[in-house]
Amino acid sequence: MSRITYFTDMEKSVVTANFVKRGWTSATSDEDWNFYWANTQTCRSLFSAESSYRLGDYQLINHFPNHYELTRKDLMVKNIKRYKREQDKERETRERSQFNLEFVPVTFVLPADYNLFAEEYRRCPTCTWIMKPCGRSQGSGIFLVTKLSRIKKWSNEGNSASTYGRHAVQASSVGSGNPQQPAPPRESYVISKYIESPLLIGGKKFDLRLYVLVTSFRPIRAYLFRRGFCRFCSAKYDRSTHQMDNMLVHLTNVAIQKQGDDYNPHHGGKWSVEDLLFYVASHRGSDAAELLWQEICWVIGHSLKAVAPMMLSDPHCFECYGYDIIIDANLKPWLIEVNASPSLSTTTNTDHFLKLSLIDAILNVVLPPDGVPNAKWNKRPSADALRGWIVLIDEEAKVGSAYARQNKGSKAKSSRSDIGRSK
Amino acid sequence: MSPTSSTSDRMTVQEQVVSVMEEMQILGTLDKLIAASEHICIATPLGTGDFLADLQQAFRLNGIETCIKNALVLSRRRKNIKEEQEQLNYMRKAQTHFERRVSKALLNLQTDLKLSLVRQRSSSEAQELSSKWDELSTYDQDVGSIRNLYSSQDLYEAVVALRDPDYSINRLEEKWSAVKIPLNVPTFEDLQEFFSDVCTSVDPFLGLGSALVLQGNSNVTLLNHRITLGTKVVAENDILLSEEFVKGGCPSHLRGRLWKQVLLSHVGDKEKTYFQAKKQAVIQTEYLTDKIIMKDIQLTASRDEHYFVYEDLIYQVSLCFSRDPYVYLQLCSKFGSRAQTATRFTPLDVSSNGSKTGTVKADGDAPGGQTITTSAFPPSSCIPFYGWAMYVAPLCYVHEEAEDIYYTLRAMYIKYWSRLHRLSSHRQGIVSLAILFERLLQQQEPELWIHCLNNNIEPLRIAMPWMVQAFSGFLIPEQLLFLWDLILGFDSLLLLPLLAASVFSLRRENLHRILSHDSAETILSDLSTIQVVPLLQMALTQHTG
Repeated sequence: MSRITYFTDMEKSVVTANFVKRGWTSATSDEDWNFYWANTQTCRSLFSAESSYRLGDYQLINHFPNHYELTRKDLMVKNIKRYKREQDKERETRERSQFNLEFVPVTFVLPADYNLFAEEYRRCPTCTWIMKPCGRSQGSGIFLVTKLSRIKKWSNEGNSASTYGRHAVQASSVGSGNPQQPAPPRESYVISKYIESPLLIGGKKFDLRLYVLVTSFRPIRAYLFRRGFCRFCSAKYDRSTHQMDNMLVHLTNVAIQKQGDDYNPHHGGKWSVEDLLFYVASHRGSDAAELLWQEICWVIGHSLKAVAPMMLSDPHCFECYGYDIIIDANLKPWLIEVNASPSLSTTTNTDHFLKLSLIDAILNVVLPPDGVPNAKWNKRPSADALRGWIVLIDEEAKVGSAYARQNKGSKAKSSRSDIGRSK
Repeated sequence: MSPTSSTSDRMTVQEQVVSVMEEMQILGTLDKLIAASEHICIATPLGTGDFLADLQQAFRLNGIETCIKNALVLSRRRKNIKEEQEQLNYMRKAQTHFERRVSKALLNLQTDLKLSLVRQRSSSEAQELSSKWDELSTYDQDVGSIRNLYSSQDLYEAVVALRDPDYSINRLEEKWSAVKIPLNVPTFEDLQEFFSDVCTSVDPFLGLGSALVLQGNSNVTLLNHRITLGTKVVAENDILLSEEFVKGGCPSHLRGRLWKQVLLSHVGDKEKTYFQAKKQAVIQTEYLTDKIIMKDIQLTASRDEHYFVYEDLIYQVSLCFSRDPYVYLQLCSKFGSRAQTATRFTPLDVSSNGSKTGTVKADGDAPGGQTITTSAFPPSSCIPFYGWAMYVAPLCYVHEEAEDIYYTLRAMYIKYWSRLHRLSSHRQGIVSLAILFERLLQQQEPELWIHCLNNNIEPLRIAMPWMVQAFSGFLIPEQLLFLWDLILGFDSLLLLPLLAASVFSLRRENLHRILSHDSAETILSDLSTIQVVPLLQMALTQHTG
């Protein structure tokens, strides 16, 4: 292989810098690429039935064709509910696990599950719910709901996304759209029970952003990047009704927080997971911190197991997901959503360095030892290549095998001190 | 219950009893102890055995013995504290001069910005401040044009400018070190002996890695072992025991309680009331230093990626601290009452700007319960400088409540940090630490030292901020707190120059390659990977020369 070429759909310095570092060159328009850092739409169309493009042995792409089973809010919930039902049936035969599979807040798809939602709503009329469009990102179109009448109002307004969102309505693009349709299809939303008592630090709400690399779904090979971060709201958390519409209090997305007056560009509201666990260890004990980290690993692991049967595990594909997790006041982690294209823009120096290292670490894992993209490689990275990652799930590694022993150092149940050591 | 050291032979038992009771009076625990003792005396049954032995046993079980032991230790220490009147004239003059410069800068700031030094807040302002007390980071104080009065660089300049008129320095010596006065500092061998526990203690230090397994028992990690041990130590409440334990590194969630025992910064109702009074003082009156404090926090702690989440707490604690005359009194008795910036601001100065207040009075409670009126500006006499907030920030990982942070900060500041920005000949003052740093580096890394001389690199200029801020803002919180554990456990700031010199040793290869001071600063700007305990062990086991 003389030259390794790459292709990207968007200009992201943290990505191209890593390619250039490895001596790769940008693919010209008339040559095939070896490594494609694509956005989700192009990847989907590449793999769609209409496309005649067949990926070669020496081509890798950074998305799975049907990643939306995990990353679309409604499909994720559906898959996890199904997984939970299956697991509950197997309770007797299942290996001992103390972990409660309720790690996603109660969620319904609207308008389809409206009646089920209304029933649940009446059981707890004082609860708050959060409405999120299924296919959007960056906090766009999200609002809080306390009264059933608000939903009725939303559904009567038809395609009401434009009233609340900052961006124009994006027609959901799963599958091909029929160009003859007179109006864009109605955007579906999910409504989830709002976590009203999140863990507050400094009086502010935050969520966790963790990066999870999956190189295959059958068998599952998933790795957790040791360096995640917390995204803090810049405004103090306030549950009162007059703050219900203030997204600076409730939504942690950087895109939203950046617009607040109190946004501080020096740290960007980002706090390392290391500091968070140190905080928990200092104020609640190291056992609590250890348990929290383990539960977070379990949440991610179970979510992947839930969607694995549905995923097309194409050997040309790998994917790095951005997991959003909220911790409640009882130190229970809740899975909020999974992003197929976690943001690679950087806000601070630390952020820049983190994302640069992330892409580098991804490449170390998805590329075989000779550094040439190869879909036929057995996808067993060496322990050295896995530096910076924690092995979440490796279904192939049988206990006692040489491969399992090799990776013992980076097993999922690592303590906080391990995270600190590998800087 | 009898003391064992030889100095006690000079005191009769009666004298010791008196000193213990005096100490308890100072600590405020005497009444409680007497009441508890009476209760035990009454409750202990008259058995057939030796009543005295039974009583002693009961005292031991109820912690009375430990209380008395603690008081004895503290009273002995108190008697050994000599007042530190500065003996060297030139040093005293230099410190006075430095203080005068700072005061002048403050007054300049005041006239430039046309603000008053002190003024009563209007009731609406007080109302607003009170309602925003929990989110002071959003309270707009218009600090844009406030300048910080001084920074560790100014201290560096002041230290380097010191000259002893009785010591003539020859040309070669002139070039050799940055600090040109002949103060006596410990040698490396002295340090090795004093800190020998760091290298040879029976239990490995926690800073070596909490996941390490113990020899002989591979089921127990070092962390769990320290937690089990630490929980027992906390329950004992014995100062000497706690100090010894803290040396080895505290498990994170025991650190708060252990530090309180070592620093005597327990928080009871009286302390909480006192803190509330300081809060009220902040709300009612505004000092110019408030704005300086807020500006400093904005520039340091609020920007720091490790501490920004605590900024509101830091505001509360720092502002209340500046109103606390107890600090002023303690510093006066420590450093000698003449040398205080505060007294420079006579009541006349303060009221000359036409503000409503006449004389500035601040009421404080000495722990014995007396009320004292002082004149100091600000009441704590601590004029903030760039980086002051970093003394507060790491404590937010140790305690959750503002009161706990406050009293720990106060104790640490009075005991240790106040020496770090004060020119004196004290063995642990910043001047001595600077000299010690240079000597260590010269001794351990002579080639590196020559390289620096040849390329106009000034190591002390780089290390000064590290030492002045006790490495806060440079090390990551976990490592910083291990360092502060060591400082508390060994009761010594001598670790600061030792750590600073060992960082240079660690990066010597890279430093040999660079040829300018700015590049050296860049290489040494990121200390986030430094592991304190292994580095100190390495430094202390090095052979000299």
